[in-house]
Amino acid sequence: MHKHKILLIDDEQPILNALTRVFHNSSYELFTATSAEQALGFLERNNIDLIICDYQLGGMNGIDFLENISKDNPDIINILLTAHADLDMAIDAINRAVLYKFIMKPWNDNNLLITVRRALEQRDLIIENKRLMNEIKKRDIYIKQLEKESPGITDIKRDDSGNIIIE
Amino acid sequence: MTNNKVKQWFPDMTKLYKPYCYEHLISNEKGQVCVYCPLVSTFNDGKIHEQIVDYDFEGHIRKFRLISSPVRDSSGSIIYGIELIEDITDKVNSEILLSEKNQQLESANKFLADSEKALKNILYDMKEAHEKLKNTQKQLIQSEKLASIGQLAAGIAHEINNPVGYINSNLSTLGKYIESFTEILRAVEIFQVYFKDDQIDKAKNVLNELYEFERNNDIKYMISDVDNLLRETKEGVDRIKKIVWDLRTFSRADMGERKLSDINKIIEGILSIVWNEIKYKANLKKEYGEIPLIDCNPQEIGQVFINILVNAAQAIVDKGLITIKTYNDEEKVFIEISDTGIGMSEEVSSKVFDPFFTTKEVGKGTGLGLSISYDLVKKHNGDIYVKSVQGQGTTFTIWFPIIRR
Repeated sequence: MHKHKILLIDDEQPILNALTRVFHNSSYELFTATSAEQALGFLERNNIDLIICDYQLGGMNGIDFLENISKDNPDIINILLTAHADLDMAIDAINRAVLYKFIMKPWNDNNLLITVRRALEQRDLIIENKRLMNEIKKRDIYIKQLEKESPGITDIKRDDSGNIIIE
Repeated sequence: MTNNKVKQWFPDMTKLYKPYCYEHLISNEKGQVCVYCPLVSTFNDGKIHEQIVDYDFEGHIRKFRLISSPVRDSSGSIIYGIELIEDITDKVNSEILLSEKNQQLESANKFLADSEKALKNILYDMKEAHEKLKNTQKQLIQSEKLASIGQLAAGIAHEINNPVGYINSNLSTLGKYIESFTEILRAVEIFQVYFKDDQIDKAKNVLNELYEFERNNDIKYMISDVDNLLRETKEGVDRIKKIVWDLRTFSRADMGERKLSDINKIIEGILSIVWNEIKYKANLKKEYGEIPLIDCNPQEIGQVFINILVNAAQAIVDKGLITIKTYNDEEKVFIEISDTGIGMSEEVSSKVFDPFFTTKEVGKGTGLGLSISYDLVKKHNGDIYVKSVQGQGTTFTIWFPIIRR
């Protein structure tokens, strides 16, 4: 089974440690970063599925960071974890950071686990959906090609009881 | 008979020629006894009579007092009448003058009393106004303090909610660890019972289950982690305790009292309140000297440091350096707070202590921070001044007098 990869970003090591404990016995592969630079390194080298990102990162805020990486990685699920929120920040986050969830510190471990599981399920479904759509497109092209080469070959005729008639 | 004085008044009067006084009075045109003559009354009833009359002496009105009394013979019949005539004009005039003067004095007194009362009222009003002003200033300082806390609230919430976040999470993780440990203890107990009863097979089964449980739940990880978990959680609690303590010390509404205080310690307390404003903007360089204690109100001095430190952090665009230096000479303790921020023009730096002067956006600053800081430092008989170079940074220097006992 494909192991989902989660990237945790927070400038405070104890927060990363606590989150690591929360996800320890689950089936995810965890990466932790204490800065935006470090996080970018992980993003380049790994196929990250989901990011949980603190608002205040050294040098850059979480919204700017998520907005930046979303341009190149539109499929990654973004969750913002913040110790303080006001309306401006929330509006900014929703409009720019393409957020899946906005979670306040202190968080609830179980809710966080459920949120992450659902998000990943949803993401898997979307990716699966895309893959199937592609598959259909491919077959469609193939069928059209066949029809071109042998007109009528893709046309299926049936009798009244539904049996296929081969002429 | 008349005496000399009467002769002077009525020079023509003799025993033979016009012997009665009324015959000489200009005002008495009819030449008859005057209607008010007290002597007539004395002759009538034998009693002493008194009358005050005005005589016209060729235009000069003079006032006379006439007193008449009877003279009796041995049988008691009235034989003479004596009339005493006294010119009381001057006396009366001086009395009037006196009473006028008295009245003037009285009204002057009254005026004085009224004025004094009015003055007292004014004084009272002024005292009241002064009291009100003092209160207003107190409230202003408190509001400014609260406003600065309000502006710091996001940072303080961040500083508190971060540790609360991992403490909370760690505790629920710890709960899960304990559940697992309890499970193992229970298995060990069952194992011991079987082992005692020599039911070796059953005991082995329990042991195998235990191993499997340990593998499945990564008990080794839990055991290796639990010390770290507790240590980090404890550190988080200590962080919150410190922030709350510093915040309480600073924000009490009673304004605190003056006491001998360690300026370095006050700065350290304030740093934990404003830490979130500084940590992403600047590295902090502390150069604390071994300075004597200062007689001051730590809350008020703290307010000054908050204002200067927050301004310093805000003046830095990307990342800079804030240096806090304390030192002293014989008479003063100095505190220098420098930043490597954008600096100020001379025009701006000359106005920074003016009330309501601010370069910040509307709603971001009250324009009172440094003005109140200035007042608070002056109140402590110290001084505060600023040196700024545009593009290079700003240094605030504050000093307080050392009080030798």
